[in-house]
Amino acid sequence: MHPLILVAVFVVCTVVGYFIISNVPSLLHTPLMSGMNALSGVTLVGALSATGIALLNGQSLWAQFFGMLAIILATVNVFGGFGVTHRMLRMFNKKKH
Amino acid sequence: MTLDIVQIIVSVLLSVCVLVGISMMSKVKTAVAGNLLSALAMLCGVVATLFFSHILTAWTVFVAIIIGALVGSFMASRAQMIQMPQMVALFNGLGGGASALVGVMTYMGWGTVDAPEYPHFINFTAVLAIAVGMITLVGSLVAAGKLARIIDGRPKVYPAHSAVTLCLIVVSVVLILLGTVYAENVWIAVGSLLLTGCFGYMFAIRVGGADMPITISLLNSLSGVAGSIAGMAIGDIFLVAVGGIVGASGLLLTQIMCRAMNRSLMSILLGGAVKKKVQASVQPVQGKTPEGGHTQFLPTDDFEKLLEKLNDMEVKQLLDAIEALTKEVAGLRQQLAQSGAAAPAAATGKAEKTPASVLSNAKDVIIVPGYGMALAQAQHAVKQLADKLEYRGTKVRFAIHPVAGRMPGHMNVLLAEADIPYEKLYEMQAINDDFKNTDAVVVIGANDVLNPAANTAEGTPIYGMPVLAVADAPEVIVCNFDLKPGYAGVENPLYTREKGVYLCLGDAKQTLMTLINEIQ
Repeated sequence: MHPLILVAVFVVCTVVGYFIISNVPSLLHTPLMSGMNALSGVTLVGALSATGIALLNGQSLWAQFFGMLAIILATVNVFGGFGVTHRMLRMFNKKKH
Repeated sequence: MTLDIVQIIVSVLLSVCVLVGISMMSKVKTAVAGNLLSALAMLCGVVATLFFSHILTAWTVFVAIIIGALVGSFMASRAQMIQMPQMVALFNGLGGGASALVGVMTYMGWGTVDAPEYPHFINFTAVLAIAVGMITLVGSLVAAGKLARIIDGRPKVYPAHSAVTLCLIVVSVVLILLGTVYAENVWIAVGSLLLTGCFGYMFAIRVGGADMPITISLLNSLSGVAGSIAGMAIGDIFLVAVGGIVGASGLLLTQIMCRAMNRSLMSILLGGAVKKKVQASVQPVQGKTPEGGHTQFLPTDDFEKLLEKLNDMEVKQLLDAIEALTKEVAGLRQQLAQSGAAAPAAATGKAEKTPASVLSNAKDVIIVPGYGMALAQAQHAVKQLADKLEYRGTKVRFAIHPVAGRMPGHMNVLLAEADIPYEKLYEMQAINDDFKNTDAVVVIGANDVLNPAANTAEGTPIYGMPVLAVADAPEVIVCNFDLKPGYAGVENPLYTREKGVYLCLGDAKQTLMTLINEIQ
């Protein structure tokens, strides 16, 4: 992947991301922050591909250890983040029942 | 090659799903679905990565995923709503840590087989990922520790704090540049891990008080950026895209909060020095209660000596001593009354008006919740109070300061937990003009966000912050735990106001329950 493409993707997503959430009621700021936080665990994808390749090619134990640790940390972030967000959002909705 | 194109298309589609999910999360009706859509997109992204990187056979990664999933789900299901700020900070830190580890792996040439096409770009982004990831990890852990009260929540400034921080930045930048040129150097990897970690500590430890929500939001943004940079290092479009979106949104949220507090981001990050002064001026207040000094008998005297002393004293002497003491106490009382420190006591004492009677007669009441409500878990009692007042035909509204609590929207979450409809929650700008027309205001565990000193007390950390105009209301009932200054450490002049202020100190839940029972 050419570096310029990656940087371009970053810039475009930053701009789009900036505009897509610009009109959120403050009521939703906490869940939104928490949801964003879960999404930042997307680094799991990077941890997986790096660790998987390291494991399959029998690279050093350090590589495997760091990789496994990265996967665990990122997964905790993803599951914890989405779980907490879901619990908060459910509370906003339950009054309708 | 065709597989590459398929991978790019899948990544773009999933990134769009994440964007749609986030935009759905910005509306109350679709928020739950939006969250689920984002989660689903993430799951698909993980599966796609496993497939495209041909690592479905590396079964040990699944073990790690299962461990992480179990731990994460357990923590998410057990956390109480009041712990949300530190939970978010903690999760956020872990994500940053993962990005830093991915950076280490990429820099050390682990996790790839082919020689890289653009080695300098990969080295640069890898070390940068280590740096941003470590700042996020350590900064978030410090923030979480402060919020959970594991470490002191006040801002802490070390000698030569700014100089040391500056040195850390300079050396880190040098390391990043060195890392760009020299690949796979263990010392550069370890050095940047340690130094940027130290920087994260120095940066977070000097922030405190009401600025914590802003710090967490900023760290949230940073963890997205860390992920995005790690994505550049390993060349994964999905990771770059989602990280970028999170980075931008986190920064926007940070800006919104800064605006609400009328402060610039830099002044918050560098504002520790101002706060130190305020703390010093506040300290003597706590230990000034006059006490002891009148008795001649020390606790160290044993009983026989005590008896001897008593026998030696004549009755007249004893009576004189008692009379002198009574006079002294009366004098002290007068002094206190004149100094105005006893004004609240006088206000509650003299009138037939009580907090309950004020609320009973009010037609329009505004409730102002703060972090104290969260601490006392009093949101359900607040709901009962609101219900009782509404049952009697009183109009009840809630005024929510943008940075009330320890996180943006913290109060909204807690009040929603207690089934208070969000139509009754008003943001500061929407309700601030109504305070002077309302009959009564009930403050529950809030201090800094309504402190009128913010308009007058120059040089304090809250100076210039827009506050709720509670001071304009004719009757104010304050249900706080004590009268100590709030998290920002500035005394609240409202508490010593002569008229129309009723202080109900103690645990907010109990105070509210007695108040509810007393309203006739």
